[in-house]
Amino acid sequence: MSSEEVVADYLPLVSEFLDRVEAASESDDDDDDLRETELRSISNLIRFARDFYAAFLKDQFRVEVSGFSYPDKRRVSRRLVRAERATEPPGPALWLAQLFEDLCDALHGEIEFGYSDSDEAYREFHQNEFPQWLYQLAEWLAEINPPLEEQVAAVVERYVRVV
Amino acid sequence: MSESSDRRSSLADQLGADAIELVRLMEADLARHEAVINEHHRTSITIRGFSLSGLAVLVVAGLTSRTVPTEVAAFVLGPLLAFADYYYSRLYASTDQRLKVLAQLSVRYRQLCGRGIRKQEEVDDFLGDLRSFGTGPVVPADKPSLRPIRPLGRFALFLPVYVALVFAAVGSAVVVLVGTSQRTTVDVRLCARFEARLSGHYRLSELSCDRSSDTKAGS
Repeated sequence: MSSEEVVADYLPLVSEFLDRVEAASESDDDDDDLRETELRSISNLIRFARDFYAAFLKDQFRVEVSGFSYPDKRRVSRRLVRAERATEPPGPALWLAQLFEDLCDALHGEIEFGYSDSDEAYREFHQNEFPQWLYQLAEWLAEINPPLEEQVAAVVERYVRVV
Repeated sequence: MSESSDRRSSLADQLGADAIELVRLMEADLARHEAVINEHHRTSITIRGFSLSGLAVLVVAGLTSRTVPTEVAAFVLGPLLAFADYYYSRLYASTDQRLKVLAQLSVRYRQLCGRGIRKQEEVDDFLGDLRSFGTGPVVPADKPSLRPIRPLGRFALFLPVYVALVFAAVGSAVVVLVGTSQRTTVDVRLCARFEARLSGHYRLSELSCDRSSDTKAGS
């Protein structure tokens, strides 16, 4: 499966996630609790990023990753050091690959694997890491698949508004 | 010729100022982590030693004195102490993992420093490793869960000892209970015999009383 196919497959799941958060925000009883519960249900978002990078890094940088573990991150970092020296100026593909390292830090440090599962950690993920990644994804797609880029851009816009 | 002279340039030139600063931070981190882990090993050995010897004393005391409450106390205390030990190990698991990564980085840096000629690939790999360590947390395990339940580090070696002591507590409690019930049966039988003897004696004394009253009446 190519990275573009992964994006096309997972975009509806991101929209479903946004629907649930929106519905939780609009419901009357226990607004905050329900909304926070929905904001913590991010397994589909993580799977999206994981499957995308598994395909994208293999296609673009010939690096195989299976998740966001330290060995994966190290493999990618080693490859990116060479790519950064060779690529002048750095393009959207390289920037998107660099965000893999940020996601590794975020997911290992706080949200999925770390000790903390505080609301603050999730807020950081929803306000910074994930929308930034989606935005960069749209930037990369703009060059190679404009129709898909429009869909991703619409999701980014909605994501920032809803979450 | 120029490539050869590039290769022979100092490691600091090849790595760049940022990487050298990262190396300095990494070495400081390594020293800090080593101190923390040494302290953890020392205290965990002490805590584990007290826990296991305390449990063993309770089990043996219960078995020799044949008191069930002591064994119950060991049975309750065993899992509690094992969990406390596990929790303490878990607290330092991440630091322990980071220490391994830091030590590898430090060794690699020393190896690179020691060489007069370095391949650019080796320098790039080291730069990549430094970068992946960066400021983010390092958890080398592939997919750890949020609350891992598998035993960690040396605790894994001592977990069977905890389990064995808890089983010993249960076993000896059962032995004590069975022994107590057998003794109770014997005691009940003895009481019954004694009661029968007593009642027989009472009947005899009643008879003797009756006889004496008859004699008195006759006289």
